[in-house]
Amino acid sequence: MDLSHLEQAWSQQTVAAPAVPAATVSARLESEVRSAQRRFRGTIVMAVSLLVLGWITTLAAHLTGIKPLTPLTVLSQVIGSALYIALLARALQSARAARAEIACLGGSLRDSIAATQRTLELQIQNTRIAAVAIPLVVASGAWLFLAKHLAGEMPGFSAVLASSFLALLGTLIGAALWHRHRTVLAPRHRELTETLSTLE
Amino acid sequence: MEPATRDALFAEAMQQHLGIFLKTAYAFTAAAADRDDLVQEMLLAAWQALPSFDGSSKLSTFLYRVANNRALNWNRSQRRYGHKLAALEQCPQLTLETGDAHSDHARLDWLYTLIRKLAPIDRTVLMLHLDQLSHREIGEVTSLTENNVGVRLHRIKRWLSEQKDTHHGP
Repeated sequence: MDLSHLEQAWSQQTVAAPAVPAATVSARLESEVRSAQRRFRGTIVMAVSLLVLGWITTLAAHLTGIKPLTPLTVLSQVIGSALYIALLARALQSARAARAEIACLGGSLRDSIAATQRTLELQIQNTRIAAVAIPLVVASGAWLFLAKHLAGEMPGFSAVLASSFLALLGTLIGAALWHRHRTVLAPRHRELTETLSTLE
Repeated sequence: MEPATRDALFAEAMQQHLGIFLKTAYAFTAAAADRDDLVQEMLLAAWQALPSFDGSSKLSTFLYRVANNRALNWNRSQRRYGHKLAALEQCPQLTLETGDAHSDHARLDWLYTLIRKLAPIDRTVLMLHLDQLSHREIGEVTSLTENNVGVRLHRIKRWLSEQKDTHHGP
């Protein structure tokens, strides 16, 4: 088991001095991180604005008499808003998990891998929810076209075409999400679990 | 942590401990493009994690942890951080330089190829051992007990010897 020549070769490795000063790299990293934070905050602000705008438009249409509110409209608006808020809450939860993961980067391998696994589990949950929820929402849209046709508000051919398109879209989105879960997230989770078990 | 303290620690990491990132990247990736990506990710990870450095361990121990943690998480985050690192394309191309002897290059290539075949934790243990960290220090980085580190190293060295004999390594 004489590996001394390998150890000797290893010890002779040296790093070519970087041409860019540390301060420049540090400044670039800071700017990248800050711009990513701004992007995330901007997305959340835009998402909340859209929700508020949706309600303002609905209420304004009701108050001006353009489109009076019906119990069905209020119900669908409330359900839609609840789903939207739940989605935002999941996004914020994922962001918190990602921050916790970064905080664990300087910790032990076990803590860091466990933090990564928690983030991944959240991603898996999100993907599973989306894989069911998005096709469901799309399917309800398809049903709406059929209902309109039955109420005489839409020709049969258009209703079938629109419903078929939405059904296909829902199936494709669901399949794509499930594929990501099966080929990327689940194997990665297994890999991390195996790595964690080797640390026991 | 004050921004100035973080900058000073990051400068120290870049000037004195860049080898930690580079060797870890070599041990976890074979392709040069992947290696550059991983080194950049490690630098980003170090920069982000430095505020949590409380000085209770050596800076090098902290950086070993960051480098190995990032390397282990790299698959998942590869795409996630891809856009962030675009601005770092001007970063220096980091290379490992050995003595002039051709045999040293061959030995290192052979060693890195074998390291990449090991389980991720064993890769880390072997690299830290080659960097002459004690069993206790390896335990601090990996959260393995000193005994466990010793047992793993014995097993890894035996495997390396077998590979050398079987494949007529350098």
